[in-house]
Amino acid sequence: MKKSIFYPLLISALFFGITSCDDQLDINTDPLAATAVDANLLFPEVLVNFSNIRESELDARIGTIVDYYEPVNGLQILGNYQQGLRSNTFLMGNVWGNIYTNVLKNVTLLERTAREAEPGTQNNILAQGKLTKVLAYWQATMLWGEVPYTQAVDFTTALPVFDEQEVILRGLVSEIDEALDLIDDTSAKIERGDLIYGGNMDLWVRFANSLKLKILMQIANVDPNSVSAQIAEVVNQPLLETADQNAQLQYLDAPGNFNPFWGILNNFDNANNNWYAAGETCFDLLVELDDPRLGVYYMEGPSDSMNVITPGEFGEPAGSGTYPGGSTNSFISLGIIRADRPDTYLVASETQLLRAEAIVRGLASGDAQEAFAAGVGANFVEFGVEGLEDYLTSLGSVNDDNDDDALLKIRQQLYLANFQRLPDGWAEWRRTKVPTIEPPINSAVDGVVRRFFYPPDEVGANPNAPTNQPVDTPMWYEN
Amino acid sequence: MRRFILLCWVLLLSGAAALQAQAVTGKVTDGDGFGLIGASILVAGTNTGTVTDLDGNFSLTIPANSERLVVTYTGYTTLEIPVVAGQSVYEITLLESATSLDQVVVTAAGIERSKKSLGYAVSTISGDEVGTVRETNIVNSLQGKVSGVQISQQSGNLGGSTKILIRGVNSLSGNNNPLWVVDGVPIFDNNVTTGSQITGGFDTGNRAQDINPDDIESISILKGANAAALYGSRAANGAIIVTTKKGGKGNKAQITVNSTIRTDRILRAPDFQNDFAQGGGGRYSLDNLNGWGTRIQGQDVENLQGETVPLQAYPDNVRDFYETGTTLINNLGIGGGNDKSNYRFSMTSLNQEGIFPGSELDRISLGLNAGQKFDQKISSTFGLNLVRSTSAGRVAQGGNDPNVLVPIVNNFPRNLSLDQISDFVDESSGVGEQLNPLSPNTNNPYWIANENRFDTESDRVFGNFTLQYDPLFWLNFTGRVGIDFIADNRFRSNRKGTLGRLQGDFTIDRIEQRQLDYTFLATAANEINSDFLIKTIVGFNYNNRVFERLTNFAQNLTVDQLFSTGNAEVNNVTNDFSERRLFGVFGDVTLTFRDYLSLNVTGRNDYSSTLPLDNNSYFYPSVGMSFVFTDAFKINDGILSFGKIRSSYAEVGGDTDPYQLDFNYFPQVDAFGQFGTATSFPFDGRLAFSGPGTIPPEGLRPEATASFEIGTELQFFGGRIGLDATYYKQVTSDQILAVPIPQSTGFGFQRLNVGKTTNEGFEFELNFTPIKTADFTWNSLVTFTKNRFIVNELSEGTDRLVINSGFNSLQIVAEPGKSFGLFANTFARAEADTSLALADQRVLVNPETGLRESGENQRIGDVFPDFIAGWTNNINYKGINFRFTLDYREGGLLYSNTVADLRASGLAEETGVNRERAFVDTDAWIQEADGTLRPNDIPVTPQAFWGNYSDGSITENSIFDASFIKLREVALNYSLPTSLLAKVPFRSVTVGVEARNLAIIYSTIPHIDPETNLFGSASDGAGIEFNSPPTTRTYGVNLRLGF
Repeated sequence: MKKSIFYPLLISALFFGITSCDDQLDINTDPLAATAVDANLLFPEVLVNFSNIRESELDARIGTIVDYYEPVNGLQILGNYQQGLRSNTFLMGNVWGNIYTNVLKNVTLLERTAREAEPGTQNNILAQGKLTKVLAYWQATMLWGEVPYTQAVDFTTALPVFDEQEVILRGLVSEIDEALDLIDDTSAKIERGDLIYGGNMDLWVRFANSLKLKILMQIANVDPNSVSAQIAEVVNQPLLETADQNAQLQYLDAPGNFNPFWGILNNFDNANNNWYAAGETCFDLLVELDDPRLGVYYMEGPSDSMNVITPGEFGEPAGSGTYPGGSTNSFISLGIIRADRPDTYLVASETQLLRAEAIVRGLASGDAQEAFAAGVGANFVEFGVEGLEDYLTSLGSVNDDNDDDALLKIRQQLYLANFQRLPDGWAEWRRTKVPTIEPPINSAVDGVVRRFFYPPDEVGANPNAPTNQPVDTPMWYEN
Repeated sequence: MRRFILLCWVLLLSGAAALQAQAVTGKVTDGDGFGLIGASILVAGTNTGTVTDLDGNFSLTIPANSERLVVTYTGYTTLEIPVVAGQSVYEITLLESATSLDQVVVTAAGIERSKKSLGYAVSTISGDEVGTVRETNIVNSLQGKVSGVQISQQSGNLGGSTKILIRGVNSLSGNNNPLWVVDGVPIFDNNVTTGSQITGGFDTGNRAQDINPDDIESISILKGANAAALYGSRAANGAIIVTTKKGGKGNKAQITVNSTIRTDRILRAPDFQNDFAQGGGGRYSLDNLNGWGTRIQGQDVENLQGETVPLQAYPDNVRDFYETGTTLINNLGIGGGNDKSNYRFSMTSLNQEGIFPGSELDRISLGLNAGQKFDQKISSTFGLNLVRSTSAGRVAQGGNDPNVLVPIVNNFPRNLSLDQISDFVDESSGVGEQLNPLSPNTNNPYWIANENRFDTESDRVFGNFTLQYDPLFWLNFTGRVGIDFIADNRFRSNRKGTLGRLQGDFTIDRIEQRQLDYTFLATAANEINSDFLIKTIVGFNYNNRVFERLTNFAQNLTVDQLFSTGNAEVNNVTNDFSERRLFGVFGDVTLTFRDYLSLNVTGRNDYSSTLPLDNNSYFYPSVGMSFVFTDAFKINDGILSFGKIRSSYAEVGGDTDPYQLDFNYFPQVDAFGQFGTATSFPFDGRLAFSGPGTIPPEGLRPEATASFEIGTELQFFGGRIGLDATYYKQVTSDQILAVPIPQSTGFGFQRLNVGKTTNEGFEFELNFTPIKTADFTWNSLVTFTKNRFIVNELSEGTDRLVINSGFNSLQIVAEPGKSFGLFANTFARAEADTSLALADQRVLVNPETGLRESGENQRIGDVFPDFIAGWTNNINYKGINFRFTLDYREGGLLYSNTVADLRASGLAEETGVNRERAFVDTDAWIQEADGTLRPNDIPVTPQAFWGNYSDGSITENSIFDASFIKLREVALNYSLPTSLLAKVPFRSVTVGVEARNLAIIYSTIPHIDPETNLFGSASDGAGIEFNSPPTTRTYGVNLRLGF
């Protein structure tokens, strides 16, 4: 009897003796994750992801739309022309996901943490976060027009509505004003994690005003009366004046921190550029203006001549094809696509040229030529171009031109100053339509691409997504 | 749990009180004189009885006035013998049952049951069926041989994965694989992927392939939640129970040697046009790999080497790129036993070279099974398996990676001679330089295959240790520990000079998985009276699983081919860890009335660490009934010889993955960049963290599956015809799922309890023996499975859920009221036809270009097949055995990117038709401004037509009916007759020839094997083929010797 009891006890003891249920089950805490982090740790995630997607997707693929380049080898996704009305969901899905689930989510988390602190102590952080959000939403509406804004990433709305572009642009201006009100001398700010300005709030103020000017000018394109007072006011605020004030993420000539636009060439073309041939429109404008930036923006291809290929004869269907005209062309310079190329969010040249335009159009007071020269000058400094004085002389003063000529001159410079700054260059072109751009021959799209399709992931999950419009449908702010 | 121990005590004490005096001894043997272990001897009309020991011996005290002893042993005919006064030694011989219906099946927790008493369907496959034509992956051997099971090999990669689905998909979460159990303990069958379908993934195979076919005694497939209630959540999708071979009877060692040598060739290469050279628009161009160039007429052109050569087609260049693979499998088994112990040792080596240059798989499996019976009514057994697998040269599939080899090979220009690219590396400078890349952006495939490595090395130990105590003949206590340990090391490199990864990189990936499983069972079986037998099992289960991974991605190598982290300019290290635990307590009561009516009731309660602590417990019951009406009504009219109906209902709960409940911030090692341009953190010295991509759940509940089945087993004409048929319905609700939510919320997913899905189906196995003479028998088995999967509801407010997506807007989508659908971009249709089915809507062309125009993203059809069937035949004539298996799948869809590519690039055979003339796409219409239609009359060039028709972004025309019939397996074996064996030192000799995957008898999909898939076994993304390595056809010879 004793023996019979002994063995089952032994066996069962083996299993029960060592366990206490609840303790054993309380192991569901991820040992490799944190429950709270400092803003300085979230902000680099926000900025680097934002820039990576701009550099590796937008700069590398949609420069065809504004004809800064035309692809010869490699990338077969030619803006959206070859795809025609078939939206490139791959590219756009990546960008959409990046903006909302990476940039906006982490900024919002950063703000949420800042709000939990004692009121007033984190105002600069809140301003830095808000301005970054404005930048991200601005980019989103530039790509798709109507996008979720008022209800997006609020951590409560399950199905955010898509807001009209007008609502978004005017909302962004208000948010910039709110951010400017938050900036003070005492409260905490993101410093080490601020890869743009290192916590220099004076520069953040210049950035905020400049971004405000840029958005106001877009609104003014269709409804100048509603924003003329604001434009007149903001041009007298501190703006980005010189290239060293540019809002940008500086990539490094250090492995792992290379600019991704250059990284593609590094991966596929041994850091040469046989991929991005000069776009005829941009190239011709530089030639026409006898512009010293020609040899800076573009370099000679394998053959001697700086010929330009015929504008996009997309004669061949999808597949690995060669661009007609071969590879004896000029290409985007490796001084532009370089390992430590910064991703510029907003630059002094664009800002000053916008100021010049505002003055010429009577929306603001000031010396248009002074702003024009400051804008072109900032661009020359940014790219280390010689011969500014001679060039400005050859262009003549905008103050001496009639308004139409002055505007054309300013807008040409805007197009050139935004060289390979996407979506900025594309956004300005849609506002100015300068220079004239034609869609490529045999394009599947009738007009120049103005927008992209919504990615199917969002459409599938969000019933509020509007019906896709053809990609050459103009945006609200265009005219 | 305290209550449970109490129960053990009660059982123990009540049994102990039943004993009395008066002794006999004896031995129970089989027809060959070997002792039967565990045979039960019961004194009729009493509770008195015992079971035999390892040698078949027993001793028993028989009460006075006893008349008969009832001797039972599963798989053998029950025998009643008279008790003879004064006889103290009984020698009893049992004969094996004539029909398979008395067979024993191994069910949950290693509990053996008579198949007759089961209330649910179980398919059993003998070791012979899987061991005759041995597969590298055991799962492939089951194809066509079992009903209710869909098996699909995912690719032709060596050691690649095979997906197995039992009675359809239950869960929307992608976790639908059945649980694998070897000798009573669960083992891993997961497929830890390297990369993804987007970035170029490697299919490293599902781990059930570590089970050695030579060691398998039998496989039972428990198909529903019904059969698996005792295994808990993990068996909600069914369970595959493997029983390994044990040491034989007798002291004499039984030695078997089993050797196979096989060759593999590509089963199907695309059909190419061979009239037109590379280029575009009818012009030859060396930089353009498309086949839209000039007609090949021997004219002089420049080749890759810059030489001027006459233009010539090389029709077999693709087929010739693939090598002839070889497989060598050698097994040595030795087993035996004596009074106290049994022992079996098995060693198998598998050496395989694949069809891709440099691809190989080597596996050594050691298996040891042993048991010992001790005097104190204690016995112990253990089984231990050591498996070491190494592989090299597995091929990437998917996209966006220079190593995705198949499209490079398929897209060889028709005028490319392999001689032109056979020189692929120049080592003369000390730094290897790639020679003869196909184009400025396309690597030389030999460079990819030979210089860019993907090596795997895995060591696995799995085994079980069992201790049993039988204090009384009707009472048994069993404790069992199962372990499974996998160390999986992977290495991947891109040599400097690889286009797309010019700076060179390598990845070291170390994955470790551990599983520990304890089970404790107390079993009591006793007759209540002569009509009723009751068997009760109570048990306890503990399961612990750990996953660990450490990965280093090293980029920008300085010294060529030096794979040291110090040689890389950037090292990105990531680590991963997760652990989960589960406790379960369960009970199982079977009540049998006169051996023909059985009622089985089970219940189990699980406690899972992955659920909220305050809601981590879930209970689920099952009830099953079996009724052998032929026995009950004594039917034996010469036609119907056996008849049984069965039915059961079961529920199973389910938990989720570890660490899904908290809102966490995760440190980041890199930020995404397209085309391999990700930047790494620290960035300029700064670290980065990110919030989660999935919103954690609140108030999470366990999942629930409810399953009902009813079936019958019938035998006619003394077993010449047998039918096993089942209807089932399985409803899964409250699924724990990461639901895709609008990314504009900031998150891609939210984890919730959502949805309800139903699988309803019918399956049968029909076996018949058309011919049976003394020398000749022909056995035939037909399996049939029809499963209808329906999504009943999704989460509130959701009417569409993307289950998986491939490229170019191809998506597998769940919608209420429907099965999983394949969605794709389609061509524009006539507005007037909107109400018709997609296939009946008229396609529109652009009135200016004559080319089809893009339309909407639409549901093309269901992904899953309408039904699948198999037909296995075994023909025996004297010592000759001939067998073959056919496999039939009807319905479902497959998108083939390979076909789309071949067509768009002008390489497929059909693109060569009418090449030099413009033609009109007569299947299309032109829509006038007023909405009326006229037939298309605008001629287009073939290049424009095919480029548009098979455009990568409009996938409609690259989606095909996935139906096929395959000749899966053919084998011819000859066993030497005993008369010849007398002269040789062998107990048995069998020689055979065999073939696998012999032919695609029927398929409407051009160019590819219809059975490939991008997603691998870890996902439910069936229906999309994307640059999958081609499957192979195998021929071999086999020699089996017994000593």
